[in-house]
Amino acid sequence: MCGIIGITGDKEGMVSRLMAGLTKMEYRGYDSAGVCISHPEGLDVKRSEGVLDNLKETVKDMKDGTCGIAHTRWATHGPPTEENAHPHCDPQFRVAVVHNGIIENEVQLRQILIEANNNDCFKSETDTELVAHVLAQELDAECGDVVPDDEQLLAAWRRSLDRFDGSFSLAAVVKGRSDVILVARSFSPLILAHNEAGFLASDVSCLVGMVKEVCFIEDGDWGLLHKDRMELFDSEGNPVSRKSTKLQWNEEDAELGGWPTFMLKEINEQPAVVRACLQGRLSREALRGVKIPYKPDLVRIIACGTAFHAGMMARHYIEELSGIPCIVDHAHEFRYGTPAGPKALVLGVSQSGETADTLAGLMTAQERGYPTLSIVNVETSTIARQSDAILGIRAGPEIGVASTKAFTGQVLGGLLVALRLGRLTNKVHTEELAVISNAARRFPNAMERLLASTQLEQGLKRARRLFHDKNHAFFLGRNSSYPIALEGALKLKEISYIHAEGYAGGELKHGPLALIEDGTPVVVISSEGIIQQKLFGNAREVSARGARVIMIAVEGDEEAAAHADVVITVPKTHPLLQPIMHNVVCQLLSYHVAMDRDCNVDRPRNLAKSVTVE
Amino acid sequence: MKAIVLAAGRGSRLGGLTDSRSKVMLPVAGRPIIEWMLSELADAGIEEATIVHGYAGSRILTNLGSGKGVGLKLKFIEQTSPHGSLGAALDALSAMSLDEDVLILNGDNIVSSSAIKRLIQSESASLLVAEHENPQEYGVVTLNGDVIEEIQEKPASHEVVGRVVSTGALRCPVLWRETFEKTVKTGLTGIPDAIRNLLEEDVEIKAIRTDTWVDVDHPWDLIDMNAILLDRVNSSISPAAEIHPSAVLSGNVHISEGCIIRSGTVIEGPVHIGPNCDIGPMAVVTGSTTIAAGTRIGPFCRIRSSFLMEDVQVDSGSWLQRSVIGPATVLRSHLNVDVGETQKIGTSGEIHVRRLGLVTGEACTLGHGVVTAPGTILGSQVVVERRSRVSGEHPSGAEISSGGV
Repeated sequence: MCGIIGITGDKEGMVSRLMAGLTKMEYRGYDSAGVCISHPEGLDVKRSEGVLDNLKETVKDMKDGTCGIAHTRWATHGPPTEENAHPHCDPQFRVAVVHNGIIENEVQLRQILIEANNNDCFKSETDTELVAHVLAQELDAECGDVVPDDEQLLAAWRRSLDRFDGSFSLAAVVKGRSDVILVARSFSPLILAHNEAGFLASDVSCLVGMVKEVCFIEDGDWGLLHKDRMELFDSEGNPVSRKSTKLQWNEEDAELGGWPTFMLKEINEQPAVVRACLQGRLSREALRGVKIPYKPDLVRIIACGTAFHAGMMARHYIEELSGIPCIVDHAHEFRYGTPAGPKALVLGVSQSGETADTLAGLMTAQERGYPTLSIVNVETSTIARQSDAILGIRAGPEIGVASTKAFTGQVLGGLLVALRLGRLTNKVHTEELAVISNAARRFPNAMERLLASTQLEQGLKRARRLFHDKNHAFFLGRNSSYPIALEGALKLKEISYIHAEGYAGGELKHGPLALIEDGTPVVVISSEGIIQQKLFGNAREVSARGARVIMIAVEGDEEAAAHADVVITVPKTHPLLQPIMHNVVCQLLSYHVAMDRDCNVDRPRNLAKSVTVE
Repeated sequence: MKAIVLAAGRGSRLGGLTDSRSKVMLPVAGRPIIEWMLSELADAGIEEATIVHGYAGSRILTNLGSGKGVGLKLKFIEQTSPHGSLGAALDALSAMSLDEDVLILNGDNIVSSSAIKRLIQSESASLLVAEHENPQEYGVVTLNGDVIEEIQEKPASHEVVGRVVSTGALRCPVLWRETFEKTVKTGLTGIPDAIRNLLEEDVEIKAIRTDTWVDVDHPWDLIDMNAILLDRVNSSISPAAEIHPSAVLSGNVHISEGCIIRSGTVIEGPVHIGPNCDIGPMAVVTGSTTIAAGTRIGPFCRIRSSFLMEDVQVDSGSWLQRSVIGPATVLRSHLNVDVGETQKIGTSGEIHVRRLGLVTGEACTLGHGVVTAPGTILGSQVVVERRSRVSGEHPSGAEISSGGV
């Protein structure tokens, strides 16, 4: 959602470094943004609404200082205007605050402050401005107009934090103290780091290239970030020190290179993602690295969005390979819903590892006594640290808001879990594992062949035309290709704003068929065996009602052409892996349809990369 | 000075090896050919290169990124005009807005940094030339002192006047763009065609000689290029590789992260092993051999002077030498690759005599106990049934069943 960054101690290029950090975090939110530089004589705040480029114009003449904080916003409280952009200040401009998360007791606090001041002194509709007011009030109580020393800062900061409920990460600067940043974390990500200066950020990706090691502070931690050290306390007020870990990613990974968009770059990185995710993990011995404490009677998967569809693929794998029943829930439904049955395993899936609902769901599961395993991309994330065990998908940083390569990694993660469970239930024998492992070895090459094929290029060229001027589209799949139909529809609506629905082919006659009109594009994700014939049947049903059918089929499937307007074929691979291959075509189709409509595929409207609020 | 690197062609003479990538992306001695080339550019002091990509261009973008790995600032443009290498050069020239000479080089062969430096220092239009044993496949150059008198593109065998050929590396003044455009308009598409027109306009072009030029044209050239480039690889063993104490490593051996070298395996350099390979137990790998990422080599295999691409699987007891194995190929147990002097006929009718084993394209499957005759060349997705004997050349998708037991 929102992203924050702060630097203290090094004046050199302060503004441009903060802006560089914001640029890397832009995917977290892009409604508005702002910067505050703390000079010895006072605070200099610049904000602007809209994309980051607007802010770049505003900060052009801003003077570098020794201490600064910055923010990129995704509106939750109040519309995206300059007034609502962070940093927020108190009326005397004594403090400036940036904030990621939600202050839940906002309404009460606002009331108290209005009564105390006898007027409505708020300039914005945000909960963050309250933080600035409260902190200023506490500083006033602590030391009046005098510039506070470290002790007074800490005392005022602690009393302020005690008055907030909710999930937040906060950073604040105080007039006169251009050497230090106040920090606090409560159920929202915050990372600290040092090299020649002190850094803070809500996301590792914006520190990549600036520091080599980062420190993940824990929930409830708060304190001061100095140029060369951090002074941290836990929620009880005891001094604590937190360990640093090395950064896994390098700067190159988070840059565009020669690509027009991150999404296209990430789609094309998928063969490498498959290699990184599976290599060295598919042997009997290596599978034991997937930590599962006992043979579960039930697996419950919790996830949101694209990760939820990856979870549905995982269910398919788990039930097929291990015979253990499996339920997939949206994390937000699970956390307020029924507990899992006896001897369950709870499997969380999240790219960022910061998805608020998935995190809460996993914590709910832990409270109920279930072991948790998480499939994540960011192995240093909150979910990764909170879960009993993790399986990293090694996809590298994913910047495009619409998830592509992480989905592929998550599906493969699900496959690894399923194989491990299959070994536990003795359903996957050594020979079968060898067959899957050999197929997996050949899979990246097959994907590379698909991406380089002119058949794909031609097919996409014809298929994207069918979406011209259309406002509705359908994706049909069955069985293992059903989650791909859902994911294909999600991708299309996310980035092209075309209303798209994914359906299981069998569901067609139970409603959606009524929506088929002349020219409605329907993408059919073919499968094998009896399922294939059923899907051909569905294709006939929709085309009889005027739909234009785009069939994604396996190479050598000669019948497919008879049932479709456009056929795009993909190389044949192991049936378990085949849906991943089909999905690449869906991703590219959505991409091109969105590009034809001049949509911003990397940063679609109203969406944010990692949903760190509920 | 800036450089333009031409990387839009496929390299179709390499058959199935270029099914999903262009020639410049073949990972010889652990890095794509174009990376070797770009490193030489960086060593010569070039700071920025524009890469013109076309066929399977996404592969180039995905691998090179912004160029930090090779120490250059990289820009990319996609070739839009259909006019061969000349069109590619023109696309780059019109995208770059230059005010000084520019280097134009091919991404699929390697000229040394010292040669590039001499081009930079030459202070005038110049062309890098080298001697080659098969001049008829290149632009043959006639010299007058160190000035180029004539260039003949791929002359017939009886017309060859010498062994000096153009390497394609060129220091090009901005003004030449006009001649390039004129040449394209007459329907010619090669840079040598443009050079010939320039010579006819009495433009003076200096020749700069080099003797360290490595080029790949046919699959068998990869074996030689592999050997030459492996000599540049230093020994290094990744701390993230798992090497059994009874494995013996000698000579220049590079082992990347995630590799498992199992007990009793012998590796004699120069050998480059990419990430996440699993070798042995009791396998023997001798130089000059490149084994790319994710390859599995089973027990009792013997691999010698070969180039194995990504995700290859070689099952137990297979013998392989002087061979090029395409990515994702599966070689079942007890494959026997015979090696011998073979005569291959090049595209312009010339005869190459080489010691050659087996060449496969992408994702072939050779069953248990297959025997291949010297110089066997397979396309992609070729399936050879167990215990078959194979010889000669077979196109992609061929299914070969027992030619005798």
